[in-house]
Amino acid sequence: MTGLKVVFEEVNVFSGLDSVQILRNVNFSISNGEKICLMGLNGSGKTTVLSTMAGLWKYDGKIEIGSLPLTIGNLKKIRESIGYLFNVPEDQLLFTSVEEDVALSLMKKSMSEKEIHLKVSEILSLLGISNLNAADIHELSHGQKQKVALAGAMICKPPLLCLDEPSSALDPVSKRKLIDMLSENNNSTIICATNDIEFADGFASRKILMENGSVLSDDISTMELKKHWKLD
Amino acid sequence: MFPKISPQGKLLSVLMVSIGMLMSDPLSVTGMIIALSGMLIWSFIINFDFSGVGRIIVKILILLVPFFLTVWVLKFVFRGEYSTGSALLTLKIPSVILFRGLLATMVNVTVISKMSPVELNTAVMDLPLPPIVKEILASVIFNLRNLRIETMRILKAVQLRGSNKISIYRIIINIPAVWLPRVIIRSHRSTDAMNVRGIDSLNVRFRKSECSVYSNVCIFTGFIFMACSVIFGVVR
Ligand SMILES: Nc1ncnc2c1ncn2[C@@H]1O[C@H](COP(=O)(O)OP(=O)(O)OP(=O)(O)O)[C@@H](O)[C@H]1O
Ligand SMILES: [Mg+2]
Repeated sequence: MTGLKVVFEEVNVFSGLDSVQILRNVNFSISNGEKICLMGLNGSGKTTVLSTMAGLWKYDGKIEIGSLPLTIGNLKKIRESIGYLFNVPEDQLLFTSVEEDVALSLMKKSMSEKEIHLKVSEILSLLGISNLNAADIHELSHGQKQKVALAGAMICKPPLLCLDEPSSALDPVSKRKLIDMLSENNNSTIICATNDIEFADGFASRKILMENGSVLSDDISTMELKKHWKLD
Repeated sequence: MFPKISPQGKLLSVLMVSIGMLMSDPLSVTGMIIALSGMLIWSFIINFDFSGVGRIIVKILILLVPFFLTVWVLKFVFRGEYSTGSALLTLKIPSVILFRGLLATMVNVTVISKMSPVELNTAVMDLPLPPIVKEILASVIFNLRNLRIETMRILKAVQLRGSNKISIYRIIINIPAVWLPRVIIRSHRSTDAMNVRGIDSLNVRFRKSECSVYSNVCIFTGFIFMACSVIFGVVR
């Protein structure tokens, strides 16, 4: 089992403009290879936790990714080990063609054209979008864009996968495919922000519940969660 | 069918054609011929995508016309003080500006908006300029692209949501307050994404095969067109 360990200790994040506190004393520890889901209602801080991990927020407290503390000096190295899916997939698509965008992280590894092509076809077919290989990114639907962004994040099997609502735009068939891919992934620690309980239970071994910027429970069962949200 | 043009070829020729358009003189026959034939030849070489151009022209007109109409009305009202010509003559200047602005904006919007962020970066990074200037230029172009995408989205939403006069009016009043933060936040988000995906130093190059001779032809045509417009403008 590979993948990176992630530790948050007493992490606080404030918004830059008005110094409103977004994360309050967030504590959790995720062992290497673990697959967890961050659950929480809108505005509870899931996206902020993920983006703090990727070094997009200044924070107080301690964050460790692998054995490295998250500091400016380590940021480049840490980012190289993260596959990140942004909440708005469009923002992260940087090329005009699907193949090039998906291949980005491989291009940086000086792999041969042939190998790159093979790997891209492989991941596109796993996600069921082989037909989009040569497509123009501007012309994709929202869900297709999400799949392309996912492919780009997962292609080089990063030791840490941070996925922000990966299933939000997917149809039921694609959602099933993604669950299978995440379940079969033995290379990465997976941290996934989602509100979709069924999706979470499909692959995650643990659910962390957030509320108002804090961790309410770092291992909540589906039954407790439904009760907490008064869904039954 | 058409060879691929390098990002730099696209950007440079677009810049020169835009300058040519801005210098063009739609009021004289020669000026009009230079403008239209220049535009035609260049759009053939760059394999200009004419689909959707009509819609873009309408959108640009919607953005530009109120402004020039105001200029014209003001001039007309104050014509006793500021201008000696007739109302028709007063109309001439704003319409020349409108013609130039329309063509130049159309050329920019249609070609540049089809270029991806990485393609744009490559184009700028290959220019023979000092690094700091290139960084600034790259970020300006990058943000202009976001500006366009967000503006088009907002215009679409206005079309759909403003179904009666009162709501259209309220939406238009609110646009500046909605539009600016949205553009800024979007730029912010896409810069974040570039950082996380490891393109912070703009070091990733465009990979597609492209034909350098053909790219140079494209740049050259743009240059000739710009030169003709400028020379004709000076001669007159
Ligand atoms: N850039 C920002 N500046 C200031 N405050 C922010 C910013 N981004 C988010 N917030 C605030 O932080 C809080 C948590 O936001 P976050 O996006 O992390 O929530 P979330 O759990 O991902 O919600 P959702 O399910 O809607 O995606 C919200 O109250 C939000 O208003
Ligand atoms: Mg979120």
